[in-house]
Amino acid sequence: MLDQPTNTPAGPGAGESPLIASLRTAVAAAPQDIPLRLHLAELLLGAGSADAAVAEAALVLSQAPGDAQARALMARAMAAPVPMEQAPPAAPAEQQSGGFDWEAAAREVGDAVPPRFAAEPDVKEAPLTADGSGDPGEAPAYDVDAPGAPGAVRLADVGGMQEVKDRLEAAFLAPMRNPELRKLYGKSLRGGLLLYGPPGCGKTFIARAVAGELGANFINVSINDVLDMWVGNSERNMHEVFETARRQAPCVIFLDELDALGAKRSRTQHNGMRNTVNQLLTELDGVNDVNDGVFVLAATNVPWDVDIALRRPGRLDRTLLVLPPDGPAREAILHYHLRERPIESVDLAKLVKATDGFSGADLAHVCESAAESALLDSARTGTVRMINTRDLLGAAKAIRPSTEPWFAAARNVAMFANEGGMYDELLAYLKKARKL
Amino acid sequence: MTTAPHRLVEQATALMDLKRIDEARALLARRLAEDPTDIVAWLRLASCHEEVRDYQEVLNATNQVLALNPEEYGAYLRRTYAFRRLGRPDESLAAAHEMLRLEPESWQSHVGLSEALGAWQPRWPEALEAAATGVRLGPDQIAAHYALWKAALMNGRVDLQRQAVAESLRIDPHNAWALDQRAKYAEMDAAGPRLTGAGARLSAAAEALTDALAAAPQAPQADRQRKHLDVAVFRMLRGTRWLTLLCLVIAALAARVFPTGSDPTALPGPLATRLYGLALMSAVWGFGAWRRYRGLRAGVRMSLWSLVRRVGWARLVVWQSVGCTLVAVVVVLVPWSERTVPQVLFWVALVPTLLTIWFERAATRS
Ligand SMILES: Nc1ncnc2c1ncn2[C@@H]1O[C@H](COP(=O)(O)OP(=O)(O)OP(=O)(O)O)[C@@H](O)[C@H]1O
Ligand SMILES: [Mg+2]
Repeated sequence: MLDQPTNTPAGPGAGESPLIASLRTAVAAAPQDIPLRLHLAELLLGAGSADAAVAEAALVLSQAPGDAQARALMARAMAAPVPMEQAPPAAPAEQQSGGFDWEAAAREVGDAVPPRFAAEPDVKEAPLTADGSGDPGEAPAYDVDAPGAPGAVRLADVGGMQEVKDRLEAAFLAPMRNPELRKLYGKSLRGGLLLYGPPGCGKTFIARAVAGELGANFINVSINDVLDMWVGNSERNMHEVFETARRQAPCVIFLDELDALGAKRSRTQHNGMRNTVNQLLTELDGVNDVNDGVFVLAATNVPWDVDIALRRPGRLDRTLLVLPPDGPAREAILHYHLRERPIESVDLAKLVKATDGFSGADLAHVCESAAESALLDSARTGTVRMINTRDLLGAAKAIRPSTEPWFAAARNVAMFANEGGMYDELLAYLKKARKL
Repeated sequence: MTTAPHRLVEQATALMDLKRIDEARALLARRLAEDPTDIVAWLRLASCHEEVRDYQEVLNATNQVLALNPEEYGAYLRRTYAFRRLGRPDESLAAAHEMLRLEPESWQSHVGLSEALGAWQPRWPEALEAAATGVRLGPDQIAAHYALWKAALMNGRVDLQRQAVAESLRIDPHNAWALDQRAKYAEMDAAGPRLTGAGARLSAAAEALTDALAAAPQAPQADRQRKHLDVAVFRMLRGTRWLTLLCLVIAALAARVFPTGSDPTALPGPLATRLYGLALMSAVWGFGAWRRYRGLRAGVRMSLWSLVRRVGWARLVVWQSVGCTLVAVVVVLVPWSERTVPQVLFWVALVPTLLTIWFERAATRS
């Protein structure tokens, strides 16, 4: 326990400078304001309340684990002139069995002294932390001539989900990369593919990875563009998107949140919205092969709210179910979210097993709340300790997969609204997973 | 007065259509920060609050509108409902009267009046009348039919309720509320201990439920609809036991399991009679179960299997039906030379089945 110097009271109140007191009030009013809290921590440290500063910095780190300023401050607070009976500051990590050398951590992120992952040779981990990507074992076939910008997400960064990658490959990536192949199989590049699945399971992420592969040959139409189409001249807007794609063919247009862009026309009174859907239909149909070389990728987590006309042959007629991340995907996601956090011999395999059915967002949440509990624990006991497997497993147990409500609804459409076999893939999955 | 709504307000309106209320509200807040005199923006904001049931905020937003224009119809419309939900009936009625004063020929004014009048039981007949006027003025408005349905409910007019639901489905065959109501009516029709005709009514109820679930798979009522669908298919499944009992009786008669008359007939029963009994049993199954099963919608059939997989008692029913039928087949096919074994088989198949039927009836009654 970090003992308190007698002259610095722990909580707010007597003896504190008015500035600190008012900052405390401000922080209490805006608990998410990180700079404000850091400012408070700085002042506390300056006033000699090192432990209070540690607690504030810990709270910042629980919100923003990567925050360099908070880390540095934490390191300084730990090293601050502490009460006489305290061990010398910045004790070497080896000597404090449960402690953590924040200075070393600040110098070398992710290279703490205890092994970060249990039962895992450092060699395997090194490339992961180096580029923050998962699944290093996979040789990306796209590296060769991909025009993606440096730092962009690549398909190799998408952990696991081999089936999804294969389908994307067959649908448009291979024909796009290889015009000879297209000629050979007489496979023209057109039409579309609709990604659907529970929220937070990587649809947008996969599309970003595809964009990373294709560079300029990928056009992203986001919800903000859609908002503009609703009020502006949607004909021109949508037409321009497709014209650009046609000029740049072979090209992929990505329509995220298709439930907004292509909402059921019967459900809305809004003219702008209906026009947008109509225009999208016109552009998808195209005349005289203008759409040759233009592929439309779309994503939604409520496919049943998408206008049915958009799913007709020649349009977004193929569907691809993006399920909650499988084992390797979960491992990659967990790796990513733990990469900047102080962790100690985390048994990733165990954690992966305990998080079956979790979405990418759920996994981020697990890491977050594990960090929170570890840091609050540290603030409470005064001994800063690292996040361990127990924190993570505890957090995982406390969270129910957020995908459950989606599957409940998906079950209803798969069973009762499966016209034309639209949801066959989903139905097969539900059967296999015994969720029917 | 502004002519065309501002760009941000337009976008917010579209977002509200998609039920993306938070995003809509953010856009409206941005617009109102720019121009706090945008009446349309205030009204849309009030609708957003109404959507998330924050009625006090509806009043606050419409106060802003009325400060800008005391004759704004939309403000009174929102306030009629907000006051009613907040349990302030007099103010609700006053707002409704303002609507009627401003636009006496609008269906919404009468529907609003009907809603406001609903606060006083003695005035329910008036509410029904107002809603009927609303429907007359807006025959293609589901909201008007909904108001009529509600007033009919309060006045105990079942005929009008069903009519309002049917009209709503004519306007929008996928309307979630109307489909839900229709399913409830179908369930009511299939409820009650009816010996004949329950089969068709049950499958109609099950189909109505699957329609409702298909139209609104995520709706809050979906959970209840699933449960009711389970109940409907379970009742269908349960019906098969009567078929097996019938088969058992046919087998017992054809195989002469019980001595009849004063002169006990000889054993074994003639092969022709027994084969005839077997044919009868197949007919019972073929017409009573197989044909009916084939006639069910794919979704209902799937629900049946889902129920059998999930619920142990449903599995018990299936095993009982299968077991009893097998016993009946054995009884009718084996050329028994004495009566003890087939009699034991008969009772062993019959008694537990009857007991579970009795037990189920007792359980559903309590
Ligand atoms: N296979 C994966 N590999 C690595 N990270 C993943 C993977 N799947 C999901 N993630 C992570 O999960 C996060 C959430 O995924 P994303 O935003 O793509 O979900 P989504 O399916 O688009 O959800 P929504 O339907 O709500 O838009 C991503 O930011 C990403 O970090
Ligand atoms: Mg997304």
